[in-house]
Amino acid sequence: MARGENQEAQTGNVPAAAPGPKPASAGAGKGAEGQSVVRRLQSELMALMMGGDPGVSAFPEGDNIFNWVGTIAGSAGTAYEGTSYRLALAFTAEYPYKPPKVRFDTPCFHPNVDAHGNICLDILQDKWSSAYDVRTILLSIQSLLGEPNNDSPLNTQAAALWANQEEFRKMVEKLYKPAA
Amino acid sequence: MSVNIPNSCLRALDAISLECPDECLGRGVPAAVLQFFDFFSTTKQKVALRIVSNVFNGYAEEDGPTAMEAVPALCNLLQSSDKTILESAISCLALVAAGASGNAEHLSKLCETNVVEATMALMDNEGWKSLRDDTLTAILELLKNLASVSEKAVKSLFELNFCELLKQMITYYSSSHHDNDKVQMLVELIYQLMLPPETSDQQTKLVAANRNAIMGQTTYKDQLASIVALIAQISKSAAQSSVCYSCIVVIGSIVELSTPNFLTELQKTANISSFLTCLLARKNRHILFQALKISRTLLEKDQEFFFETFTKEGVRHAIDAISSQDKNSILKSKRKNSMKERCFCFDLESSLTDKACRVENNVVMELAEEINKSFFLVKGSKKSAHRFGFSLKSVRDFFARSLTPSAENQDKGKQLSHLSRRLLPDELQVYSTFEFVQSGSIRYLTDYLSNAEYCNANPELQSRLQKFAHLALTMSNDGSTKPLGILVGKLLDTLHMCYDTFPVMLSDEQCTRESTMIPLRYPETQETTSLELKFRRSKKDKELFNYTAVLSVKLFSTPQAIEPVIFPRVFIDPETSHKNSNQVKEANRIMKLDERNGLRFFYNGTILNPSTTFLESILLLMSKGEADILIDPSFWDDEHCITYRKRNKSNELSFKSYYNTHLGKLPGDLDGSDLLDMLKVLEGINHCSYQLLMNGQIEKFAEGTLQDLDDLKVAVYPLPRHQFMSSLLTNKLELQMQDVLFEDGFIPSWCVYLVETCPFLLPFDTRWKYFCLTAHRSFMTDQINSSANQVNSSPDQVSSHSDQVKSPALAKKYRVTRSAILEGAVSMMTNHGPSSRIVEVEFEGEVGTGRGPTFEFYTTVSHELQRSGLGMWRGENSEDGFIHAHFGLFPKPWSSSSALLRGVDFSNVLQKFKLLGHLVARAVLDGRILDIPLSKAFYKVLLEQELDIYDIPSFDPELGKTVIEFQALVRRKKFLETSSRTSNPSADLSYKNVKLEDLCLDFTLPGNPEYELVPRGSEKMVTLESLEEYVSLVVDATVKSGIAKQIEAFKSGINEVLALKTLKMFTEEEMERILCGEQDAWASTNLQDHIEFEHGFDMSSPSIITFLEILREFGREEQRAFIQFTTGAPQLPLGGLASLDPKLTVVRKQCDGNVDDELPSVNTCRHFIKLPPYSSKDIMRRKLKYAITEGLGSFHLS
Repeated sequence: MARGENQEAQTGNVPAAAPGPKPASAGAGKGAEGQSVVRRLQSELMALMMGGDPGVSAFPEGDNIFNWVGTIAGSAGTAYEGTSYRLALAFTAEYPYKPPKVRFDTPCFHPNVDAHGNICLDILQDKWSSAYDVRTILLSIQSLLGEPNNDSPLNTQAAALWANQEEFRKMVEKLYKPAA
Repeated sequence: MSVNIPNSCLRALDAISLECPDECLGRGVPAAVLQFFDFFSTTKQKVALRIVSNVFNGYAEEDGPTAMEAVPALCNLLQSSDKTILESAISCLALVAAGASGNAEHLSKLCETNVVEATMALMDNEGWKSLRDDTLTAILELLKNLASVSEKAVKSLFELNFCELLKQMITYYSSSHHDNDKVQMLVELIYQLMLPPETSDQQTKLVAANRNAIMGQTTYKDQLASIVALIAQISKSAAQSSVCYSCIVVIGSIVELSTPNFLTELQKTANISSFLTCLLARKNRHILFQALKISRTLLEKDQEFFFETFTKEGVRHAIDAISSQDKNSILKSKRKNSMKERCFCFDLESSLTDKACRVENNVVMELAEEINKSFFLVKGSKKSAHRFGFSLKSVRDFFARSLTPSAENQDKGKQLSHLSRRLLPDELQVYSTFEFVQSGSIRYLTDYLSNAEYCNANPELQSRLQKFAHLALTMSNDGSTKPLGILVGKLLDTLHMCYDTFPVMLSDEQCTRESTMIPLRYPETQETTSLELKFRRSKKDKELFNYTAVLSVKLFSTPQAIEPVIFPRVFIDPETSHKNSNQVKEANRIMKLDERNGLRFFYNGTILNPSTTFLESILLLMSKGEADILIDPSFWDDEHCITYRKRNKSNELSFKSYYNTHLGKLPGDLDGSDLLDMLKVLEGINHCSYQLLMNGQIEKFAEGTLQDLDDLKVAVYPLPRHQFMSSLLTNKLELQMQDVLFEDGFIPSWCVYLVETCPFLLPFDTRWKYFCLTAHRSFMTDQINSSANQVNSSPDQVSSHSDQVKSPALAKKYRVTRSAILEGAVSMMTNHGPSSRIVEVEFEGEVGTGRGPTFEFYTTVSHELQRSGLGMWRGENSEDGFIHAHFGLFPKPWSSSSALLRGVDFSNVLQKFKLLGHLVARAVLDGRILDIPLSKAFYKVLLEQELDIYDIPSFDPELGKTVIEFQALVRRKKFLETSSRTSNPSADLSYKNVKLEDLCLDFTLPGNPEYELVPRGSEKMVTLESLEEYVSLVVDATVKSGIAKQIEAFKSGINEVLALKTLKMFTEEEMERILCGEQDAWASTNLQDHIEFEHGFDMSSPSIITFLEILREFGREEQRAFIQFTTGAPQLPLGGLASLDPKLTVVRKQCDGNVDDELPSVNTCRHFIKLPPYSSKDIMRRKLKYAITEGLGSFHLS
């Protein structure tokens, strides 16, 4: 299975919407549950709307406060300049003790992102801290776009191409399918 | 010549040689038979050799020359490729040599052939491992005989580097615990190589002189020197005095033959003085005598040097102690005739058998006095007043200082820097074990670190332990030796001086147990041995009745247990004695046995410890503290007379535990129990090193020396467990367990004491054997039986009792339905859980019975218990419907207020935990295997260790990390509040630059919002002020009160089957090994099916083939490390490698430089392992092992 993914990534035949499984959200769904998490997420939402960080934004998807949609814009001066990516964030009842599950919704050609949009980023795994929030996550991913970790690539083709920024930019554009 | 004729001849000779071997030998049959050997068929060749062996069996000395004629032919046969022929030829040669032993002329003829070289060739290159046991014995026997007379043989042995071979063999056999005979034989062989110079025979004197010259050659001497260290080690850790004695005699011979220069060298490499100190602490006079002789020889050879060394290492002190012993006390110790007396002199020098033992009691003392007079007293007067060396005083002073309470607070920093300097490896190493012990430092150090209830003790002690752990574990500069390691080494050395405290008691039946298969159950059909006790009223006692019956008690009966049986029969109640009603009497008697009234038991006038078995007490009193006790068969037939007397408060003696009274006094007034205490403390520190060091880090953060919460991590490298193990005690316990009566309850109290209080001194295998041999005692049902039937006072009772117990140990069968397996398991365990028989399972509607279905049952039930939605475990519900806990299963906390949650009834959860307890206990007893990845912390609970905040990361790293960081924040806040210098009131008390309030935490359990930590907790927000309360409540809910009921149910499940406390001798890891078996993470056959290969690799790449080979060769520990390395979690999901998602993928690592310098790396997100294409399998294995073990054993919290 893994082999298939990577070959697709190499040849660039990534389907527009990768059919990744819906992230499991154990405690999600019921409003009465996770009072603490709901409160925390509401407060984060307020902060995000007030803060106005350039290039990142996030909002709950529909009625469910445990599932959010985030957007990041490619930073100026990087291969991703002018692009905008949608991400799906799924929180569990253990947030903020455990990180949310974050996935690219928009296909993204990047050394640390696989064909399903899974991201390999330390703060989303073992380096997670309860002090992080949606804003820091989105900012981290934004900066990851410009500064990939080429030592442990999920997409080896992207990692190999990184040295040639011109070609890389072309690939990014070729595979970029902005959300409608 | 017809072929048939020689065949018939052979047949005839075969018969004749059995009848009259001498005649055959006289007529040269062996040589003749061997002459035509090559013409015979293989079967005939074997007959021929049988004839030769018949002929040589015990031939007369005058036939020696004729016998020698057959030797060259026999030697030729040693090259034979046929194993049977080879073995027969060796045994023939051994017989020839045995027959000629004592006749140097014949034997030297034997040596002129190449027999030495030929046999050595057989043993070279680990060839001895493939030889049959009796063949090897024959070879050693042969070489021994040759070496005893022929210097040529000795010379060739040395030339062939025989010492190296001996070393290998001794190391191998002494580590296997049941080949003591082999070790003894090897040591004897070395002894023969040396030959004692004092042997009187004219001929041998000449030989000895020649040999002396041989020894003079440096190459041989180096070989000998290397073997001395090994023999000294064997001697110190030998379980039997006889082995120890042979070793010391060998060392004595080497010392005798050596030059002073060589001996000085030997002292430096093997520390022979320390070895002598250890032996001089023993009671066996043969050993003492030899040790003294060696000491004298050493002093004679280099007085200056060895005077110094002996003083430093304690030899002088020991000799002093021996010579100043009370003369009468030695003479008094005349043996009882029922104990076998053994004189070891006979073991080595067979010529002495008819003479009396040369080592009389007073000889030892006289020799000690002589040494004292001629060496120590003269020298001592002109030397300094320091009897025990110069550096000693400073060590002692130091520890005394660090304990003075007044200096405690002001000088703490200074003291610790002292301590650290002392503990630096090079400093600690300078002091000899003797000096260290003599200085009293151990006692001080124990006091300093005592009450070591590690993490819950008072703050002062906690901080001492913390600082000590920090110094002892992390101050290693080169990483090779930690101060703690040296300390433990010295303590174990000292412990080995307490040899006599752990007497091995062997019953006469010298049949040893097969060590591999140990039955977990008491062989109930076997006749049990019992002890005949005749109870008699003490003459001084007039109140009690006389009781005349002879009781036959079980071997494990103690005075305590017998008391309630005897008491009612002998006690006259002053109030009821005049009444005639028997019934009233009966009732009163039983009631009256209490604190105030009871019995004391005596044997030969010595009061018996109520909790020590009669058997042991009697044996110890009979043997006067000798360390090897061999019971004479007559002991079991004798009636042993026990007197009893009324016990009342006034003459109540307080019986301390065995070890407070019996563990010998060591130099420096150190009690043996202090020593064990100290080892226990150190082991505890080692065990809790993560907690202690982490606590230290938090303290640093609180005080501001550590700024960033992200730096709050420690790398812990605890001492490996084997460094705490005592080879002597392991050997002794192993030997004791080989005794056939061990299972019957003939267990000396030191065994129980060691296993219960200091299990870390013994390796797992030994403890597991002990558990198996004693497990039947922990069966609940058996316990009831045994206490009720411990005394068989009447014959009828004996028979009825035996009927009841000796029913055949058949397995109990139970039928379960697959569709309702959990229910079936619950009812099976409720009915048959506590059974002392093996429980087997059949599935409803299936024909299979026995092992297979039973194993499947345990596996299936353990899987069922991992289903999500049961409310048992923490962790994510994975899509397959099972809980997936990356770090092992740990109970999910349940609030006491909610009995029902999401359709799960708490009582059902408890029932399942009880079932798990049953399963665990039955699995241990029946040798079943559970497939359930319990977390380390849960095993800790099982072993009744307390959990605290530092255990949380082991099963939930994210939560654990955050609460520990919160804890650090709380401490900093407290520190700032209490410290007088509040120069910076606005110090940073945010949580990683986030205000605590902004985290929006309320007082509910993280991830479990229904669990309110306080009433209406979901409305109470966590602030900096309430953080402390919050942290302690979260910790309490997670590892204590929130899981208390589940744990209780689990433990009660275990306790219904076997006593939980008997499992406490194991560690968490060992428990897991017992329960889950040595399961492999993958089956080697289908390994390649579950691994993907990409980016330059495919299934047929040479690197991949090698890689798979290496993976298959990995042991369990390495597999685990590999899984941890590649996936980040130690546990694979249910189903193993096959269910890993994404699949484990091996890709080729691009290397710029030399591939062999690179290390493999991983991407744990996607389970990639990047493997450089190494040039050889060896390098790949080395690099892989390095990569996976690097950082293993260290637990980083990051």
